[in-house]
Amino acid sequence: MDEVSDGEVTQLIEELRQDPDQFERLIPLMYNDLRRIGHNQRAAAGFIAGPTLQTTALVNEAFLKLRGRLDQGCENRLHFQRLMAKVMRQLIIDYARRQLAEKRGGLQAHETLTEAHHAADDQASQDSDFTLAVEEALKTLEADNPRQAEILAATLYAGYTSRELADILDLSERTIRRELQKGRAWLMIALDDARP
Amino acid sequence: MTAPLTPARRRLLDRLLDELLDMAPAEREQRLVAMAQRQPRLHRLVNRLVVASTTPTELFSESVSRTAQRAAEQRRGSEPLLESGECLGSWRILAPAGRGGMGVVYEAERADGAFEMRAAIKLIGSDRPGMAERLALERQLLARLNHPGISRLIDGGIADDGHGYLVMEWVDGDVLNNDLRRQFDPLALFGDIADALMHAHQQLVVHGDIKPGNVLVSGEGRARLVDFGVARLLVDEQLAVEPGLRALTPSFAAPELLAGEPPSTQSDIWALGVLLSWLHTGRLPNGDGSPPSAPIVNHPRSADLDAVIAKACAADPAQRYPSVAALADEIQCLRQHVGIQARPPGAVRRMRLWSRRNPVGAGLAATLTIGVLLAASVFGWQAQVVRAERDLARLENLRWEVMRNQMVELFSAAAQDHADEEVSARNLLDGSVERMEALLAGDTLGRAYTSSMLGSLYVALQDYHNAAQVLRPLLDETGDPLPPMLKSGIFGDLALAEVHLGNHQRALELSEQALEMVERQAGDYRQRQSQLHQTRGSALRGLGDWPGSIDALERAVSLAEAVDRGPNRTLAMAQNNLGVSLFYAGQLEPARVTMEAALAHWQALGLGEFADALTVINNLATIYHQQGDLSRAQQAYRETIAQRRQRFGDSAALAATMNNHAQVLMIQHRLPEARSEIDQALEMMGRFNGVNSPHYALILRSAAQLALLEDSLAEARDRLDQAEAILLDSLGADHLFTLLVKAQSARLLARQAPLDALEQFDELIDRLRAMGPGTETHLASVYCEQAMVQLRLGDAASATDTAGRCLALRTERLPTGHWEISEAAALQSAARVQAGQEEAASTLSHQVEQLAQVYGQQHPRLQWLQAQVDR
Repeated sequence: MDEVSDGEVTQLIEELRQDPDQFERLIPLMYNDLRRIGHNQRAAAGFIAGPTLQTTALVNEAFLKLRGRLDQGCENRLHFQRLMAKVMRQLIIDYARRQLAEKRGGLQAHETLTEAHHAADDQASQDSDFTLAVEEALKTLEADNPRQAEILAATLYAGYTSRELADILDLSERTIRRELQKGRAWLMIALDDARP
Repeated sequence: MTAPLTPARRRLLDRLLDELLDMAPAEREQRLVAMAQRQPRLHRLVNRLVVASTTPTELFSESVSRTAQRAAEQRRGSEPLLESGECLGSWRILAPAGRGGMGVVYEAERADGAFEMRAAIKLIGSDRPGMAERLALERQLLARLNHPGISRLIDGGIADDGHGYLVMEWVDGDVLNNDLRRQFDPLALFGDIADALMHAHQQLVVHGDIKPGNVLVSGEGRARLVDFGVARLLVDEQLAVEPGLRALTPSFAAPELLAGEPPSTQSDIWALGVLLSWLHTGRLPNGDGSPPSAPIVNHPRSADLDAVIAKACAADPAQRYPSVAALADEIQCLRQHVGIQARPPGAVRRMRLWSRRNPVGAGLAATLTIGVLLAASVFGWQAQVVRAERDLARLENLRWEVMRNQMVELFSAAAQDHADEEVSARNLLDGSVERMEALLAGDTLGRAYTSSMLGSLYVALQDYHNAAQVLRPLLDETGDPLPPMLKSGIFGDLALAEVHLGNHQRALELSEQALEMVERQAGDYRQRQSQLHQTRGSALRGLGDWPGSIDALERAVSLAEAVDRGPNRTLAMAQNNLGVSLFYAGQLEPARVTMEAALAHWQALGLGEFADALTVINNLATIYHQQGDLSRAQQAYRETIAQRRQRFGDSAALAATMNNHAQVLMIQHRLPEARSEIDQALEMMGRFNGVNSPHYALILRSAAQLALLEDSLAEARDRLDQAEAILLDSLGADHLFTLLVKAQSARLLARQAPLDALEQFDELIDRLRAMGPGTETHLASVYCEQAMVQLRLGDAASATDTAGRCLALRTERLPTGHWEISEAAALQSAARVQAGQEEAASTLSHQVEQLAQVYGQQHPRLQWLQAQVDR
């Protein structure tokens, strides 16, 4: 199993930023998929959620186009999908951080919002808070067992199924499921320990 | 599992968990029970893992997926795609232009055939209440921009399906990209962009999203900036729909933007720094608020360019270039091969150092320096302003409000930090007034703004006389109507000055008018309202309407609390003001509590030695004084006087404190010290509040009291006549202050014509009784003074009765053990002794001993009472 390093993600994101206009065009596509992943996760109402194949394909396409343009093609589709999961994760975390910053910094504007908006606002902040807590817990997990953490993160953030992950990581589906179950346990405990 | 596990232990636990999960539930249970007995610590860890691995995890996966969904929705919105030929207002879509930072931009043409025009159209999201107004406001704001380097916003509206759209001037050219930046001179491109931005900042418009995607380059290599204000509209849009992603590009976003602050000129300058770096290197910072780090190699002055970028992208906005012009100047120098300036950090510090070197006559130059500093902070507010305001006039007002507050803050801070230069600050201000007059002769609005600002500064320096001089002419201004918030600011400041100058009726009118103006403005002006209610409350207090005053000040306190329950200046000031009115209304204990709360707030703010905190200490001193705790009072007076003198030099407040201190000194019969305090206080009060102000009259009353103690009856008469004239003129015959002066006159009269004095006391008693319970301590004092006269006249029966009334009131109103209660009791005992009740003599002796702890040994009242004991 070859590694997808954080450095690589940083590199990719930086490349995207080298050409801000490209980045801007890509982002809506990415988020559109995130949205679908979100819907699917909600529909599955469980820990393991599966995005539609089209979603993955679309995200792939966007990235491959971009990568092709940059003349730095991906090693292969599987490698790319792992990268993709990491990028997704980073984007969601970035969003959660900004959402909270916005909440803290934008009080003045919020005063004009209606009650309903306030409620939505609180829910969103709570979710962002929780997402960031999960992120912290994932980081401790990463230090102890990187593979477990990656499987967990790819499921959580990119919505990959066990089958897809088995494919991507070249492991048995059963191993993926067991790693997920254990990773989830460790995550719960890390979350629990982090609680004041 | 609070202690971190070693990797080996963690692997062990993981393996154990694996084994357990492979087992059937019953077998697992058995194994765990066995483990609990043999290895309790291990069991605790493993059991926790087993439980966790079978616990449902919807909670966090749901939270994450909702966040993901929001991130997606935020970014994508529900923007529809437009087909060629579709119409938006009077515009027809030609084709997607495929460029621009946010969303799709379409090329469009005028559809009504009125004239031929091409435009770029951008959809900005779905309709919501206020969208049309918001667009109109934005258009008005952006209509000020008129510069060849700026693509103008020319139209905007709401499409049939509810989407807002913006129509911008069509610019031929391509979005700035890597190829273009290599094709043209980067510094020339940068110069165009900086020029355009400079113009915008001069018009108080912040771009908010400067990046290559918002720069179009013509075939000749001229750069134009597009999408002014669009970022802001999108921010608003998103905030209103759901909080989330700000419409910003991470690499170009200054750290304070990432932290949630609104765009400002300083964040635009940060983005310019990043752009400058990108133009030379093609590389961008990480997008986490860190500055560009790629060194420039392809320029002969690369080190200088790096320095310019580092300064433009300083983490602290105050450390960046103060304006785009300053940055552009540096670039101009670079292009012309002139050395760039080394700049010392910290503009405010620079000004302070400078004014320290030039204590006198800093004048206009300093004012201009401040102008530059202010500009930076003012623009910073703009996004908030736009968000909060609904029309341009109000935008103007809020900006003014901010500038004014900044200025007052700056001067207050300067006054605090450089107390030794206090005089030079005033010189500076006086100089500014003179120069501004000449400078702004033809500009009514400009003069109004400037005069109002200078008036506020005089108020900040507690120079109310000059404040009124500067502000009064503005009320008669007949030119264009002044913007309402400017006007209310002028009315409010003048009201405050008039309060301090003793023109309470005028102050009341002005503050009520100002309040009306503010209340008519939509928006949150509670702090301002609190301040105006304070002025109104002070005016009512000055008019002797204690209940009205307390009512107004309680409103001021609750408004200030509504804005911020924690310690804040407005609240502390409101509490102090309320404390003063409670004090005047005779409610000493509530006054003390309120004042102590105010002092605690000042101290919590770290401003325990701030001018207003000193006022509170001073007021507390007066309360301690009134409560009979002379030693605490004297201590507090001494502290206030020393601090005030050292930090702020002479002022009306210092004069008032010295006057109060003199009162204590007179009881202690330390007459030379009292004389020194009173003389200084009189001179100072005359200088700052004017020789016709009620405060001056109150010091005259003290001077008369002192003259009486010194047996200088003629001087006492002069002082009292003068005081009475002032008070009759300013406050009227029925005001407490006037009555207090009259009481002093009656005491003087008692020395020459005791029978006449008795009548005067009777009249005073009637009038004070009519004023209600708020003045009962004063009424008690008049009874006691009358009893003194009756005793001297040998009318023991009347004296017993009168002293008894004094005693009853004092016992009721003053805290137990107050020396004035003892005084009243002593007078009553003396009357009884005089009436031949011998058993009263020992009581009197005891009471006189107590009074000797308070009165100075030479004090005539103590000596007289001691004489009664000896009889």
